[in-house]
Amino acid sequence: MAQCVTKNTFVQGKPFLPVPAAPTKNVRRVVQCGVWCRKKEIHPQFHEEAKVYCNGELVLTTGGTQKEYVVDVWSGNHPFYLGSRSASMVSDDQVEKFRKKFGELKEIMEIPVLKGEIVIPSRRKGVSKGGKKK
Amino acid sequence: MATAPSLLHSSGSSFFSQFRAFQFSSSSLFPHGNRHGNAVVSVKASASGVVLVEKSEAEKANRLKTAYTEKIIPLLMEEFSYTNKHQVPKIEKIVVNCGIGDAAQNAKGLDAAISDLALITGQRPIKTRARASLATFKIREGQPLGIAVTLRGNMMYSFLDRVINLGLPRTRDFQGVNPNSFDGHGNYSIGIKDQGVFPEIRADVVGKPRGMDICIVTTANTDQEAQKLLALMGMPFREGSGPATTIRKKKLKSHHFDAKSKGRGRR
Repeated sequence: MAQCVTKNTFVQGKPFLPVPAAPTKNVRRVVQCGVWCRKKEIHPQFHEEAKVYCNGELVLTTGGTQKEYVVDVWSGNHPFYLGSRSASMVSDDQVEKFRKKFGELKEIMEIPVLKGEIVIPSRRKGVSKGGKKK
Repeated sequence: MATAPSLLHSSGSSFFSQFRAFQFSSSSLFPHGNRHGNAVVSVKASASGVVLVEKSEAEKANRLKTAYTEKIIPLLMEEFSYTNKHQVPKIEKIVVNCGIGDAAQNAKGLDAAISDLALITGQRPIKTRARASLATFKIREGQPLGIAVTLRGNMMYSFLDRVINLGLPRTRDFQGVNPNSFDGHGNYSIGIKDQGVFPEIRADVVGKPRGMDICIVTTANTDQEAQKLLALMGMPFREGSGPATTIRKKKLKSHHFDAKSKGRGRR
């Protein structure tokens, strides 16, 4: 089938580190058999050694379209991959999600302990105006 | 999203709390809409005991391909008694498909989908077009219906590495992928409901979440060989019944041969 090549360019997010101006190794690779099914200069820039950071440390090196990845959950700390049965990260209930989101606000997380006897005022009967009907 | 590691040191834990809570609520993976097979979902990793990503391999590039040639090939030769090294099954290609229903009416959305899938896979997708006109689906011949990427070689191993180690763990309520999704000839398919599980896609993009299908084509002849190959590569299969022992042949029903009811079956 005919492939329609549009003129849109891939606008990626601006990286923190400067991207090297030289094209990557994958683009300049010459295939021995001569069949090259990958068109040049229409694909996004691919980094052969992209670093994956989790909690500030390097955990994985893979290829990707970004120079660095910062993830919070990866296969090294997911409970299913580790074989544990703890479901604390997989399925949180609403209370736990609330605690994680607003756990830093200590002053409203504590329930105040009421001291002394609490006197609830009794409900005063209102005087009905239209008591008597003529 | 790309963030400098120095920003991580300076941020407090409340940033992580909001980040973590937001990430889990926006992604999901369901291999089947209706869950059939075993009703009990066991939460346990694969019993093969293969270490997924070791600590010392964090710096190594092309880790998955190296692990395949050095570790997985001897294990498979020993288990399935291959006499030749080239009999060992390998992954031939990975086809990522994304069907976009409103591609003809929404050209801007189609271009955005092409950009997103190109970011995820590292290769620009092609537009898949309709072969025939169907009035009930309101499509005409030659009209673009979706996008597809065929990954081979190093791009395939890098993408599989990112799917297994980065994409699938960020899926909501992830309890392992379905071990019964083989097609009888050693190929495996995953359906991902939300592309936001991939770290290339920004988490705060509003709009309808778009999913995709990943089809892993292997050279294995049976489902057992393909299942073992993918399990050794780190695919987190759910415990339960594995692939069937025999190659399932599709039974052709009678309406395949009846020309009169063919049009009625298509309607």
